[in-house]
Amino acid sequence: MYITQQQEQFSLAYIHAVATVAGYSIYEPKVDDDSVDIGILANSQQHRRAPRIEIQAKCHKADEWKTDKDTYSYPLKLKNYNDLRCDTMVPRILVVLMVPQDTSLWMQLTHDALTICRCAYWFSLKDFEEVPNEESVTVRLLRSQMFNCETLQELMNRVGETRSL
Amino acid sequence: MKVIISDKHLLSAIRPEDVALYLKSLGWEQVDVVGDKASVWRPADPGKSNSELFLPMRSSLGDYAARLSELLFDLEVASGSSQLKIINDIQFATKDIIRVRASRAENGTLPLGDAVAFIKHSCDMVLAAASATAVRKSVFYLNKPLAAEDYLKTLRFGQTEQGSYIINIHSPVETVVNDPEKAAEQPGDQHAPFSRKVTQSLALALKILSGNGLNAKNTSDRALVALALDAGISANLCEAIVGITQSVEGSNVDFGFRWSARLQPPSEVPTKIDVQRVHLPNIVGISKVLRDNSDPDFSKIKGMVVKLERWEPNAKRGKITLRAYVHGLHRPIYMSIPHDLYNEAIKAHKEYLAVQCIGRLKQNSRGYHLVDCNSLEILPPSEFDAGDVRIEKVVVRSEQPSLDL
Repeated sequence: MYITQQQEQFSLAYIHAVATVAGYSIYEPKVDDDSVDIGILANSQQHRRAPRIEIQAKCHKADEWKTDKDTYSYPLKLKNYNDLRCDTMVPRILVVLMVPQDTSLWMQLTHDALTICRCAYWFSLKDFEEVPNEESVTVRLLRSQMFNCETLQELMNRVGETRSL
Repeated sequence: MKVIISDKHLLSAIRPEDVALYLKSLGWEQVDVVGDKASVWRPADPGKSNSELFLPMRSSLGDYAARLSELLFDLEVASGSSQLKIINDIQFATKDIIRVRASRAENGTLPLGDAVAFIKHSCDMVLAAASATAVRKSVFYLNKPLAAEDYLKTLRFGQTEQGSYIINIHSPVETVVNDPEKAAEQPGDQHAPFSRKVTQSLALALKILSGNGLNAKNTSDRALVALALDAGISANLCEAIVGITQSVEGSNVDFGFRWSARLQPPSEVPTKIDVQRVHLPNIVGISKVLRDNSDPDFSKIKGMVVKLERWEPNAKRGKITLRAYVHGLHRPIYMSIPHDLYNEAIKAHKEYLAVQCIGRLKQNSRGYHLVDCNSLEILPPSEFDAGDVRIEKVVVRSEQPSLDL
């Protein structure tokens, strides 16, 4: 498997794990859209009315995020940037899983624990402005926006109330 | 075979208003909205289903294709129709469909020449119906009503279907008033757009021609012309129908009509008409009566002088024959012209120059004639390609009597 495929699959596995523990369902988009990898659904019994979020998943090999920095600059392809900022019926977010450079350190498994290094951060580009860039746009991930069960539940509640993020 | 429509380009091309129209035609009603992004639909009859459909309101939404794909899936479950059929029906919601079918086409194919003739005569048929919708005439010569010409430009030739040889002509239907709800409720045809009047008129005319509604043998010419005009039947329509049927050897032809969901379907108008070969002699007879009793318009004819005929040098009028392109073919056009123009005709013939004549173009059993022609003008070479016309015969008669036309 190519490293890029490993990164992609690992980020999806992370999101799947977080969604499952938070009590939500997962679905794959039927229509091929480069900017949506996975969807999270609050209630599969009434799926069209239930809150939903669709995610562009990324996995970024980087040095450890320094604790004295609140933001992390992440280069996002221009196409993804535009697809994530446009108006949609189902809200979209970017989720970037930060992992160590060494693949063998991504996951540690013992009899007592499964540890995934490190964690993911979410970001909404809704209502962002069009940019003149030609290839990529730098997005500043916020340390405070960790993608975990609690923040996912907050996001889903927000979508359920206002239909947006 | 179960097919899931997931092609982004195909889905993005479907308009939300067409989907809404289609849902209404199936008995669904809008019950809610989700902001400015989606409308929520349920069956008007709750006994049918408790399903809900979410229709994205704008095709500009970034996830429009994905949401439409979900709607197709939900509608497939609710209605039992395949997604392929649903997509087809949505695309037809804003169009009347005229279907022309050769009932016996081997393996669903036709010889190439026959297929070309089949399609050409089908177009002629629709143009004839449109012309008769615009103005009632027994024959439409070179110039068709502008409304008919404009209407023809809106038509689309749809994909053929499996089974025999079938062509579909798509006739877009626009609502007359701004409110589609009101347009759909308009009783009768008075508020119908021109395109709907054409398809409706064509269906009724075909029904008459395929039955005993108009009999050339048992009806006086005057009565026949009146009945035909009233029914929107012209010689052009008759000849087109004959042409369609004759282009498929050994086969009958049937015509189908599918009405757009934009308007109420017309009442008492058939949706399927069979024209059998036994009907053709009567249709030919009707066409002949209509042509013999027609009142032609003035037409401009451009062509080459191929025959000159004047049995007295000083006769008030002389006869000439032009070779011109009329009604899809190069044909001889017979006419008499005033004495003072006859020398121009001689010059044009000798110097191989094209001419333009104005008169009333008429066709009878002996061919095409330009009557009341008092105008002949030699055209500059740039205005006419003489190479398009082959001169088959050149005769200059100055002493022998000419034939009566």
